Amino acid sequence: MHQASNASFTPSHCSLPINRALRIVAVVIAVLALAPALYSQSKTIIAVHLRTPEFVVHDVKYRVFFMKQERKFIPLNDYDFSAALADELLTALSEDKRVAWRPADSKESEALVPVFERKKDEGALPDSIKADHVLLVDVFEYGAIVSSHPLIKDEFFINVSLKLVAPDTGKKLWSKRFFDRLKLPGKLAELQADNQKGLKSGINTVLEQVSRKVKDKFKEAKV
Amino acid sequence: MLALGLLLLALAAPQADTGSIRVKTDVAAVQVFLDGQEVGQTPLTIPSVAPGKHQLSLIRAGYEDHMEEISVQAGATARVFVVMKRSQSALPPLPVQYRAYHQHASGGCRGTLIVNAGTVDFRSDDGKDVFHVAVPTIRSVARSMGSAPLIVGGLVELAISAKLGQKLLRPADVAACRIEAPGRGYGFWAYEQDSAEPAEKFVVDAVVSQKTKELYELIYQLWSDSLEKGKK
Repeated sequence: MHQASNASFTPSHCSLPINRALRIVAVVIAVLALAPALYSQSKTIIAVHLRTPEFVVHDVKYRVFFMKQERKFIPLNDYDFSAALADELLTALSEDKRVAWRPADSKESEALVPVFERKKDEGALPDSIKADHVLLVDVFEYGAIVSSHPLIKDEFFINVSLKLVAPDTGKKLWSKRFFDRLKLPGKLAELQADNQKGLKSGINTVLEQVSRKVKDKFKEAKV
Repeated sequence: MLALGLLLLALAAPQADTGSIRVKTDVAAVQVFLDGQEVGQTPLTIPSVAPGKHQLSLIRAGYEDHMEEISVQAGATARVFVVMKRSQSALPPLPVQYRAYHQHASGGCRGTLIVNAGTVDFRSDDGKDVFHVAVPTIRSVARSMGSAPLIVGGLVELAISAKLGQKLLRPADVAACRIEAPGRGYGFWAYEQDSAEPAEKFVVDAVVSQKTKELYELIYQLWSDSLEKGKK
């Protein structure tokens, strides 16, 4: 004990560089100060619901006097769009430290299906949902629009609505709808070659694009 | 606010030195290796990656290996999305002959590997290393996951790497095929005669990886069939 009190502590005796030591002290102080704030992050579930599980193609056929639209479905092999969107949103939104995000597990997703399908935005969420808030991600459709009309561009698209709700009341705290598009890099048939590489890569880019927009919009929101 | 400022001040310098890589695949749960080290399964974000070029390898049973060089910049996230290709499951007509690099504890040798319905035979080009493995006696057929010991250059390379402060383990072994037979284990990379033979150093690239996977799947299938026959 006496030895410790007699020891002179000067920078030259310090084994760590001064700036590193200061940095460690700063981190400790900051963590201690921020701990209550971090602890009070609201726990929020991200639940994704696909109204149409397959990749949807809107084939707009140009006729002289009218336009005819055909709706086709292409199942994407091996690609779980719902999981991919949930993961991308989770990654993007995790930068917002006001909220502790996590994806809905299979039981929660199942319990939330009636919530997505109900017509009125009312009522509490099922009791099995244990979270402060739930972000309901309702994907109406994702896919591509192709057309023989010269003024209609061939594009990937996603049509999605997001709604942050309080589970106990079902009250809507924030909502936003996105219709995001991306130019198709080639013919639809060509994009299906090589295990649908073009389709999957394209829709993944749209998914990243929309997730960034969601993050930006959510950041602005006073939730 | 003061605390936040301190935190930012403290963390700003180290964070700016590295970048990150976001890896996604169409199929979920693909094993991801960065420079030969397993880092997790897709989808994932690999944080604190040193700036520069890195070798990314994606492996999943039933799919072809994907190998890609990726460039990382400090303070930025490099994004990779890979559509995995399903591997062909049909067996080629036997016997099949491969050019192969056989791993030794240090270094290795090049030679010819012939796979028959019941045997795996290897003969090195200089004739010093010859062996014959009966397929039913094989204990396991596996793919090596993770870094391997030095494969080329032996002690000289070890010394150079140590001096330069580089990793002593070569990040190249994610694609190797390993056979465990009674009393001895064998590690191989298969390659195409024209693509890898002339190189002074043995380089594990996408072609080598693919050929090795074919070799692994062939031997595994034969071994698995022999186990089934043994049961009957």
